[in-house]
Amino acid sequence: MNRANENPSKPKPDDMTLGFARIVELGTRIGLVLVVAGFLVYLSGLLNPLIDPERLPGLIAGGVDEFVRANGVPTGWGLLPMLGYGDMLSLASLLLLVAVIVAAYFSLIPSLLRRRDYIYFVLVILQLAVFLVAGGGWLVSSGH
Amino acid sequence: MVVLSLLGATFFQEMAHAAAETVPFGWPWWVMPIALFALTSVLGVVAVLAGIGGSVLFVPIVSGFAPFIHIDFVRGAGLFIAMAGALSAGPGLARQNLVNLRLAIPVSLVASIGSIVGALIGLALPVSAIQIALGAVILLMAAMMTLFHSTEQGSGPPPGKLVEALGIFETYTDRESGREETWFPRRMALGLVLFLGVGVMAGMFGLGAGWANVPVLNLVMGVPLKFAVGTSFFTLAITSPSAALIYFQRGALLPLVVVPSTLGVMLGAKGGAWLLVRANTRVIRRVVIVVLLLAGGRALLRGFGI
Repeated sequence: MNRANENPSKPKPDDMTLGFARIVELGTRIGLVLVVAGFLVYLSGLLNPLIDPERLPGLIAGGVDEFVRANGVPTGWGLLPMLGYGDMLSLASLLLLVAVIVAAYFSLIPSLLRRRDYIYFVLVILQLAVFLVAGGGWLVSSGH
Repeated sequence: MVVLSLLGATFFQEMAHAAAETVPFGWPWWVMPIALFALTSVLGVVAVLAGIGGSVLFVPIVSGFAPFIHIDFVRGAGLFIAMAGALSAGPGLARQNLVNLRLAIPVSLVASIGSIVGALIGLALPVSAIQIALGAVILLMAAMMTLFHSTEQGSGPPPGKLVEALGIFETYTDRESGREETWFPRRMALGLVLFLGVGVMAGMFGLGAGWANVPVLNLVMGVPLKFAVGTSFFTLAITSPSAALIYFQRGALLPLVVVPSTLGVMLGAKGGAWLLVRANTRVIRRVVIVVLLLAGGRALLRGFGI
């Protein structure tokens, strides 16, 4: 947090914000490289896809439930045993971008505890809980 | 405005129907990712010049004019586009001291919860209802871009107890006077309620919420415009993943749609940033408003089965 400076020099972002930004920046760069790499593996056919890309445009005009049912596509973390398929690997690489912000939030915890900023410690924990609930698959609705 | 947008959207009906009939049966499969990349590269440029997010253009345009990609998959891609853009831009803004993390954390928490609720609602509602609601939101967005203008400095009543308890304030150097100024967010409780609603819309429609975040921060909470934009980017980076995880759990993230679209918008945004100092952004903004009117009208027509 930036507090009013007694020194009249140009205000700078605080260490916690800079640290958060650094993790986001580095993680995003790495994540994007892996997203592109995963996508190239998928497109090149280096790993066979679960669904042939030639068929895909004809399968996605219907809703997601129809797509999943008709094609036996795993949902959520059901993709983990199927990372040997190019499209599943590419999908998993996309989740790395989500992991970037989760990692950045975890990085705030030591700093907040050092400062004894317990209100924001609780807010950060709550946000991590929100990510966990969203990603855990317990809330997925029954569909159309 | 609604009538004009509906009339304009009807001109694109034949094109969309023809596309639905020929694709995918007539075109090779790789046309879709290449077309998405090309389209989103342009959208990325335009979005920066118009001051709105790439997903705000992506979702209504692709769902309206590419009916062979169901809106479920378009919304999932839209959230990734918003998230990737925010992750790319956020750190630079933070280094320039344009992000207030203490403000971003509580508003993002509330917006994240809203976005999860919105995603669950959006994936449960009939497509026609989604299209109608999306059309209305897009038209509202066009109206907001036309009617409202952000304030550079931000203003409002004194900060309340919630702001004092959270210790949110920021010191910056005023460009004109050269003096150090301090700002506090105002109407924090109202702002949090509005962010909950913004999150619901973002999750329901797969839109980045920057178009709503900035007005709430600037016009309601009195945050100076530059800090509102910077903090909004951080909020997007936190809110979008929450809803995107719901779409992931449902199977609505397709790499063949998400990856080229995300990369296209990010590349286009770099081009847009380069053009920003050279282009007439007022003209661009007017063009975008027309595009949003057409896209919103198209969504309404589709929602009513026309």
